[in-house]
Amino acid sequence: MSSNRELNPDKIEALARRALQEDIENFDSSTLSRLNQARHFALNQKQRRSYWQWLPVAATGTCAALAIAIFLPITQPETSNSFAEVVGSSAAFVVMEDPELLEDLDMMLWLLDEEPHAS
Amino acid sequence: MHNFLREIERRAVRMAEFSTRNRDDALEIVQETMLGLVKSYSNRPEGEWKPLFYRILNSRINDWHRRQKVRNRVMTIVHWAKGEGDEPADNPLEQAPASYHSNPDEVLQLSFKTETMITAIGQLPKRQQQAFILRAWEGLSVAETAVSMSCSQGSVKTHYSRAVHTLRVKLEDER
Repeated sequence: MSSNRELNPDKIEALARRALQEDIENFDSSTLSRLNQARHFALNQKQRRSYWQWLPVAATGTCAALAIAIFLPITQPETSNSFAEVVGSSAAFVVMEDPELLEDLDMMLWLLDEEPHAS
Repeated sequence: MHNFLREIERRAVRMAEFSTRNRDDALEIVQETMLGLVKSYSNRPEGEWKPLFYRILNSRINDWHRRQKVRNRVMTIVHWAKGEGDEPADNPLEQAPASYHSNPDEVLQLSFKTETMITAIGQLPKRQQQAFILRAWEGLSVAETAVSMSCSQGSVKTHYSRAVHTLRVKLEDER
């Protein structure tokens, strides 16, 4: 009866913990070495995986850069930078907006033509 | 993660070995468990690792038992077909090694009480054994043990109390 009282759940837990702990402390060196290798292998897989995780991002970025480099010059409208064309197009735009200006422009052009003759 | 695995790995091997009764298989199971944890859950908070680790471990142990069952059936059929197996040795107790320890020196190093306790724990039914080890040795809460064992908290309590009762009876008999 007294032994029954001694072996309460807490006592059993304590005995079990001690026995199990003692047991794993006596693992042989081969087991410990294999565990060490297993741990390092698992952690290396994580690092290797983390490199591979960036591969799709890098590939997408490269493809996007290539696509921009190839298609942008093709699709971009040709722009002219010559001063005369810019002025001409601007003048045409202004005249279309206000036809009365056309008369003033004619007047200005006539004056410009006349000035050299006058001098 | 390195420190966590280092801290838990021996206990995991012991737990797997209780179930498989084979040190090599236990080591393979623990390696697979480590890989599974690192691949799938290394981004989770550290506090969640332990129950998740044991959940994977238990899953791998179950897989091992399934594979063993299939292999034993195949072997039985092969023996029977060869005419060697009039009485196939499919009794798992007959197939089990005499000791859970792969190295005989280990057995000598253990005290009688330790060996008695280890044997008693090893003879517990699988679920009782898991519940007892996770609660008593790993110090997991009932909720964490339930996550690890993929069962309800009520089941954990039942398995645990039955395990304690069985151990008490066995240890009393040994006295």
